[in-house]
Amino acid sequence: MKQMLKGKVIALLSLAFLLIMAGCAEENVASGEKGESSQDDVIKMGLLLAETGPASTLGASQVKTVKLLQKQLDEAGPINGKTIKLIQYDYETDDTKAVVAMDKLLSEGVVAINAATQSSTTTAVMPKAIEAKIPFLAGAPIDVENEYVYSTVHSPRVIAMPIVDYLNKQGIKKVAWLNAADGFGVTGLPAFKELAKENGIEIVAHEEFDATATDMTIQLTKVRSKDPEAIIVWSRTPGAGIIARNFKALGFDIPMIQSTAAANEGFLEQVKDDNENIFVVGSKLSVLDQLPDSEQKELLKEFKEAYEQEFGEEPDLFAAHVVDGVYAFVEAVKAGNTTAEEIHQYLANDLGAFLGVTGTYNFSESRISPEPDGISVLAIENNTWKYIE
Amino acid sequence: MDLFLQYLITGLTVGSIYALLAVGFVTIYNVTGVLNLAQGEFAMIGALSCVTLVNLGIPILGAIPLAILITAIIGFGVERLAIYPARNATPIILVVITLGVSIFLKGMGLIIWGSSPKSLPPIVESRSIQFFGAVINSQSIWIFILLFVLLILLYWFFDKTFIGSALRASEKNPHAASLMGINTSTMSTIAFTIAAALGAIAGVMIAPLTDATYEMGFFIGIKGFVAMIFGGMHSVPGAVAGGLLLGVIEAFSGGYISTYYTDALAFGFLLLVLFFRPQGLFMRATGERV
Amino acid sequence: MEKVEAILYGSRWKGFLGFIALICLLPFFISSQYIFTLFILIGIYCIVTIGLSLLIGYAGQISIGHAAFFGIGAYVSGVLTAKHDMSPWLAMGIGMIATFLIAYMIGMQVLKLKGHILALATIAINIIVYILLVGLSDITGGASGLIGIPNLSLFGLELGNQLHYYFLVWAFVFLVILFSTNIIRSNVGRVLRSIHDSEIGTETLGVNVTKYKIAIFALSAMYASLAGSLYAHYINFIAPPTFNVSFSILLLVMVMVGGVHSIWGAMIGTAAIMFLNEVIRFVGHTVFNISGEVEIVVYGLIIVVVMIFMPKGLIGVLDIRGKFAIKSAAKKNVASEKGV
Repeated sequence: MKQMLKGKVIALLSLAFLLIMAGCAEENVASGEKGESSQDDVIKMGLLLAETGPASTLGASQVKTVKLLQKQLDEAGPINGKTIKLIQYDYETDDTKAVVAMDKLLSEGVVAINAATQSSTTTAVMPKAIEAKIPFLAGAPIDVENEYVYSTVHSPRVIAMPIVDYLNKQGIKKVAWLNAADGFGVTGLPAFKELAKENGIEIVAHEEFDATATDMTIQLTKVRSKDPEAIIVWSRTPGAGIIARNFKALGFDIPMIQSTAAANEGFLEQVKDDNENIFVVGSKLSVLDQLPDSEQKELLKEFKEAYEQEFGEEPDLFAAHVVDGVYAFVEAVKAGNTTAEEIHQYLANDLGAFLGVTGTYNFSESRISPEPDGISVLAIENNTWKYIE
Repeated sequence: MDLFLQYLITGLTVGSIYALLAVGFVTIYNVTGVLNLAQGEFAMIGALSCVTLVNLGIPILGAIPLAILITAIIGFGVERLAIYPARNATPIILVVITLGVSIFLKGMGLIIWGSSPKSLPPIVESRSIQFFGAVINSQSIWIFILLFVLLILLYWFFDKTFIGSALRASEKNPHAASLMGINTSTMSTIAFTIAAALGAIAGVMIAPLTDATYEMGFFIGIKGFVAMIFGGMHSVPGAVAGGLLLGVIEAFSGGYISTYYTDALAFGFLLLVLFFRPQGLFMRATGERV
Repeated sequence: MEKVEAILYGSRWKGFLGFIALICLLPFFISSQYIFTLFILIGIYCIVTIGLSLLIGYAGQISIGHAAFFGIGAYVSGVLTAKHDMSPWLAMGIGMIATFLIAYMIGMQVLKLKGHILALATIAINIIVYILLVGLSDITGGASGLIGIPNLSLFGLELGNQLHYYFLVWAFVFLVILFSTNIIRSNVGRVLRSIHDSEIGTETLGVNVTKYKIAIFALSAMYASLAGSLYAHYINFIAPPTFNVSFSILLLVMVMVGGVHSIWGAMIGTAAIMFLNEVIRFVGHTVFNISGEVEIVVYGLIIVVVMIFMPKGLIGVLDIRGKFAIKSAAKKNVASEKGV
């Protein structure tokens, strides 16, 4: 009897619980639909960013950028009578949560998606956008090409280009390659290998490390025995900074060149006061004052000043990716497009060459990457970035 | 040859970090029988609050004791608010509670300090030292000195002072200890406070080497735990030896086998130890209480 | 005899049928893809947590490493279907058998350990499996993940569709529940419970305790493998970080919060934690306008509070209420009888 009653109570309570949940869901959808019908003039763009979790070292500035852009859009007022709303969800550096959040974005009726901070997450959520036929502005380098996918970020090959240029200028022919054993870390080597081959550069050593490990001396010691003329590192912080510190402690006198994932304030802080011979592929945003005047400089300056005014810190390359994704979308809306399909057609055929903060895009010609004109190998001087020509 | 020496030195440097963590683990485990999975978080709080204090302009020698004090107070609070109310629960529940505390503290760390890594200046600024072609980071020498001092202090505290004996008695047999007039719940609080302080010491010592982030706790916490098991759960010197051994295993497996599988080999070794010498590597087998 | 059965085990069919009805009715109330995704994930996680509840609640052994078995299942399915074009159902079966064998061999050694040490050993296994998933990149695709895992189909019915997949997943959940409740009701279940209460006591009765513990460990790992396969075919993409220790911790928390002594508790816990995450996110963003950081704090806080005040989990609370209801009903009966 007791058992039976218990079973009933459980069944009833769970029924109630599920019905409430179902009710909530209904309500959500209903209000969403209502929202659309009563205010036809709202156009939504969805963003998935790593606000928390390990990738938040990269995602934090992106989230801030979304807030800044929303504020600017609100101030500018409606475009052709349409208000743009950016809906951003934190996926906590967790692919599964990203997929759930993606569905939530789709349920809310977004007409374009910009995701995500990391490569693996971008790959995980992308099929949903393709299935829903919604333009997908990829926020991290991915291998997949599809009609609906537009990359707002440099492909590994494009990031490696300035590095190879630098190596060629310095006459360096033997390099060692070190990367973090994570989704970002492993993307660099295949692209660099190709470029290196074309330019007669030999990769004499390859080691991996954990981006959260406390010491990379072993990897560097192994690499040293191969006598490289430069070391290239593909990792996010904190690993990027620790390996740079170990590199200095071991007394190397060759250059170390790091990827775009190290081009942020956190890395500068990590290698403070001991950063000779350390180079990073960074955004021209970081060295704005040292750039010659150009249209690009004006654009970068505008964004940088607004960001600094709002948050009291400098934006980085990852912030730039978000800006470009949103701007491309805003351009499409400005041209009078409101549905996912219209925006997709506009991005694919009509947008043409588009100068962004990351670099110059031309989706009609390349969906994989913007051009490398927004990035450059940067040195560090007086604990700030230095532009080298 | 200099490769061998460099691997050994790196192994000992990394190992000393694990050893510092393991000392805190052993202290709590010895007194309360609780496996505190939030121990790594104490190191995180110690390191990051020290960074904040230094940035406020407090000299490093003043900032360190303050950071340790702050962390000790948090350790006290954790015991009072989360462990004490559940003192009669099963080990599984206590493990989950410390997991919850760990998640909570990590979240607080993220809110207060943000996600980017912070670096802390070493106590004494100096270049790294050359030693027969190998490089020693000067900070790791300080860590070794500190480990040695801690070993002596903890030995003296647990074996020679009344409160230390009372702490040990509470773990060996809580019932008998309370019959002897020892307040076992106070002892638990003291143990957590001390362990938090030890965690903070570990944090401020390793931050100049590894930098401090809000997510540093779990990883080094697990490694500290492994070190404690190598040492046989109950012994502070054993835990220190276990930490150094773990560091050396990692360094050599990375150096001579593969850097891809360093952690896998280290944890594989842990499993071997657990299967074949569950009483620890440096201990004689003792009768297990049922 | 039937009465004795009823008293001993209660009417499990009523709750069960109610549940089936609920799952079948739900799609009529929900149209949002987002809620569907949640329910599909809850179903997948339930398969793992039911296994964990058998292991923790009935056999008294802890595991913070089931994400590893989940990952093995997902990767066996993923690699065999995406790279070798094998039938997904066959791959799923191979994954389950392989995981069962692996877990059985691991269990033979690991389950000699107890309490905290067992917890750590399972964490170690999880970390080793994770590193292998990253390291064996020629097979697994490494850190950048494995793409191109096909959708499931059954007798020509495409299961990529949300609604179809929802029913598929919950059909598996029912099979798992059915199988598990049968184990609990059998003499194996009684042995397991006595192991939970006193391992040594059970051993002195001449029961080979180790054998039962290992079998349950391997069974729960097999459930996890099945869930992993379902996950891989649903998301169509897998990457190693999904199968790291933090996921094991999440699974453990789900079981503990729901209540470890009943498989219904495991399911309630799974649903509760999943919805909690979403609710915190929703309330945090819309009402308080706070960011994701606060979610972690609230999440940690809730775990601690539930464990302190409801060590038996959410189902424990229902249990007490149930008893109160019975007591008050009995009192009423007595009162009315007296009145007459």
